[in-house]
Amino acid sequence: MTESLLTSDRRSPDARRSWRPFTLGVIAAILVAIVLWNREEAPSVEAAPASHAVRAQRRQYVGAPPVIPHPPLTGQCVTCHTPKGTNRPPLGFAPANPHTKTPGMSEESRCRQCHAFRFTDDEFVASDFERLTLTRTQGSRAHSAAPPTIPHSLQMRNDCNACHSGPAARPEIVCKHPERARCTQCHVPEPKSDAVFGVSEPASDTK
Amino acid sequence: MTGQDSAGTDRRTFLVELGVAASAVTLASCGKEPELTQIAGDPNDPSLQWDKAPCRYCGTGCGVEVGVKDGKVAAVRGDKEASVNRGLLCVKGYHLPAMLYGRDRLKFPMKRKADGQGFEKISWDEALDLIAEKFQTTLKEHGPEAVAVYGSGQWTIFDGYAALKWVKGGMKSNNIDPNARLCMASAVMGFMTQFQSDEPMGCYDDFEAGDDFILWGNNMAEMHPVLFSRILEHKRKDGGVRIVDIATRWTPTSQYADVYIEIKPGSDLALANGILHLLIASGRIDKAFIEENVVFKRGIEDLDKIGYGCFGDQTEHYGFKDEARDSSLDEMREFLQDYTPAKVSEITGVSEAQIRLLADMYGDSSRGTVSLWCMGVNQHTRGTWMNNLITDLHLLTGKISRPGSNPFSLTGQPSACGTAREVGTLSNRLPADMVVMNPEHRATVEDIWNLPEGTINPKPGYHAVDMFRALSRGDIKAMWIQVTNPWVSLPNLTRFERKPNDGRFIVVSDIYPTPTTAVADLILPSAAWVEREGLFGNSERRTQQWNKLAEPPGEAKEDAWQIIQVAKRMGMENLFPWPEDNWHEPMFEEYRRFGFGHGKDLASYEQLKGSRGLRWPVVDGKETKYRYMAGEDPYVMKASGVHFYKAKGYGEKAAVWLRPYQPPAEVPDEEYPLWLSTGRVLEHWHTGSMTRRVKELHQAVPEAYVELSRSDAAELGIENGQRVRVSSRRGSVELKVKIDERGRPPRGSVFIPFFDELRLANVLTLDAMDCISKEPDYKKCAVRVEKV
Ligand code: SF4
Repeated sequence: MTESLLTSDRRSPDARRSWRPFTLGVIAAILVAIVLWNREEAPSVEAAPASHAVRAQRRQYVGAPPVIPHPPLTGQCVTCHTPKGTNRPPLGFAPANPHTKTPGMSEESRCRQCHAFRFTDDEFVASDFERLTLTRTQGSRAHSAAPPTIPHSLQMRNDCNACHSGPAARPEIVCKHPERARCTQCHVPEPKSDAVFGVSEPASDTK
Repeated sequence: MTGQDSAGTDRRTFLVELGVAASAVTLASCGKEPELTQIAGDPNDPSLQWDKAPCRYCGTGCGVEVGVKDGKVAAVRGDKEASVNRGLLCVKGYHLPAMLYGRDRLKFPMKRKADGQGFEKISWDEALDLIAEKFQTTLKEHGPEAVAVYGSGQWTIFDGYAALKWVKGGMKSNNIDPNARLCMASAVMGFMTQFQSDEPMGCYDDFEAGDDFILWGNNMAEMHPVLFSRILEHKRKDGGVRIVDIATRWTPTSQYADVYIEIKPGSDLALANGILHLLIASGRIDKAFIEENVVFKRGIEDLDKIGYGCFGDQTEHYGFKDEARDSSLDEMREFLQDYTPAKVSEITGVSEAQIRLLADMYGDSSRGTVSLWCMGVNQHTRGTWMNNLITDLHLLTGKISRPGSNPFSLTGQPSACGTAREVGTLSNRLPADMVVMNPEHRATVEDIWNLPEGTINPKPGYHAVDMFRALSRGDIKAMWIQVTNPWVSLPNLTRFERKPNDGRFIVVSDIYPTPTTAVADLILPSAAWVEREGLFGNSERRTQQWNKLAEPPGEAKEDAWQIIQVAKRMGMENLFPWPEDNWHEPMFEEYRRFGFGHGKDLASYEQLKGSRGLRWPVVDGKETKYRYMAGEDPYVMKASGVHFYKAKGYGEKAAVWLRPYQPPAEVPDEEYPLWLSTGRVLEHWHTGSMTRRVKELHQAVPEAYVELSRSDAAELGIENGQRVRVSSRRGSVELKVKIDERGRPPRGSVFIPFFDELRLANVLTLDAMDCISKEPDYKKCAVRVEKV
């Protein structure tokens, strides 16, 4: 195993860049107007399958980095997407940056190396790509009282709380005990979820 | 952390609404596009097969794991076992799967109809017979100078090797050149003129070993994003690390630099000479190292003799040849008298303090220095000179061939090194750095290829730009283009406009329709990336193998197969004597023979199959990180220090070159007052034929634009997002303006990305070239901007 690119320590806060609250405020106001305008089209939080579908639409396949669902705002992404997420009234709650503990992420604010904005589909040539979507949301249990396993890969997902707790967490995956910080003490990844060529999954070189 | 109270729920509701509403607005115009089909499954799905492959796109060569379901690529993830990227990818790499499945993938051979209008489907047999017949007739009637193959740094090693053998060993022509001529030819000539061996001495391990990283015109954050991540991570762990960005415009790279040095276009030669001047004048050079390992050379410097390859009698053919003569450190000191900080500051626009800072960094023997460059230095009318000067800085300070101190040339294409350079698919080259002009080299190749003496043609063929000039003139009558899109990527594109039925025969192998397939007479559908078995070689001498993992669409076939079939139809089956169902490994094993014992030893196919790539020379199964370094390079017998053993012509020493500053070919004037630079963006690969068919990438950067400085825009009365016309002496194009977005040119400069076939940056550029490498300069010409 090669040494990981990244470790869990973060840059000092003063190394982060400042943002411009005023401009952000103006954009926020525009966004609020947009939201009110489209109010009746927005699904409610109770409609869990809908939020599941929305989640899928933001990824080319399960495991792909999601695209950015909002228009560009002034300032750095990490200004709002802090390690715990930030409430930005009237904009809403900006989900936590899940990569502060991720090996392989070198700089917290180079988000656009992997995440892209969506501007327009004009001039796009149609695609026949079939999107692989998530069909399982639950792990398995060895017996009824055992803690469930983790049904997905942990690559790029090293901070469980970023998705499983806080106001931005999708209701179906909210953790009931976020205060027990060491998740992997009880929940283990399923062996295949992190399969690596030549390690736990044989190479398909017979093709 | 907020609990699950009602306020929390409200915020959550608001957020979901916000996300959906915002995307509804940004995608307001996308109703006509059907959403992608969804298939059920997850990464644990046992029907998903995972295997390794290098990324299809850039010269970084990240390892990806490819997940295949029912013969189609369904997912990828960063390969944690790959030492290049250790699990991380960039946005292009993560979105690789959809690249293969654009609805308009080419699936069948197609021939232009007799009336010249449109194409009709034909069989592979008909297509291959037609190519064989056209090339054979052309050879018979017009000789080997009338046929040509234009290839690619995205060719696999198999494709390039098959093409080279067919052209040079079969048709006895040297008219084979890759698009890599447009991209790293200056780096090749830099290494060849100084070490008489191509490819870098350093490797990616330098990114964790160096102290100072000096980027010469290199927007690494967008062009080699994962490598830049490695430097930033190193910097995060070691607070003493410094990054210097020498650039003509502010880019996402500048944001992370400790020092941003803005330089006038084309003045880098003066800046490098200014640093050399200070180093030598203050004695901050390594005299013992120079004594032991360095010779001094000087070439032709007469501007009238050299020219720019595009004016007067150089307009049709550019054949300038440099001539070396011996020089010395004393002559160099004398030569550099002109490059005082004051004078250099005047030419470059860089402050004297910053010039001194750079000299202090290169001159500090206690710190490791890595110089990095790519297209800013290579696509330059004096690109080879600039490569020479950067390496001079390292040779004079002894900061070379040791961990954390190296000049490191980055390459843009996934196999610019592995195929174009190492296989030698250039008009003057043969495998393993050999050249057609050298009788011994020709004899070696004829021996390995089992061909009669005198088969290889001693006269170099056309380099890329001259090849297309010859095609326009009609001197080239039959041309085969593979894995590249010259009708978007050539400079001064309007020169090469083509009408069907003009007596030329052009075959294009590609995976999607492009402006290049549009001018073809015959279009062949190719298998892409993991739809076939392949090998790429990345920027750090790493050869990476992958297996065929997915099925190509329709009747698409790999490029090497297409060439072999045509060669066989031309009676050249002796060139490809391997069984139809097992030719990859034997072909590679034959190719390996060229490098054995020359410091170019490649690993066996079997070893490459089982590894995440290995850096050559691979001797006794062991890769080499640092070349010419005692204890690291198996060819160096010295107990310590370095040995430039490949430079036989210089007494096994490296050459420091004296190279003056000369101005660019075209500079802004009253009529065309702005500098134009062109280049890539993070999200798109080259001419966009693949990445524009990936929804996530297309949405992110849907069209080309022109970056303008706020002050120029204000003067012209132009606002962000407005449409303008950009014109040069050669053409014009309409684009949206971007002000203060990801790239910020200074007053007097504009930038346009070249990925967009609907808005061609290259109708503006000039076909001026580097005098030695013949690589065009896409970074400097004069334009004007007007409101429309
Ligand atoms: S495009 Fe380059 S940096 Fe991005 S994943 Fe591919 S090889 Fe790596």
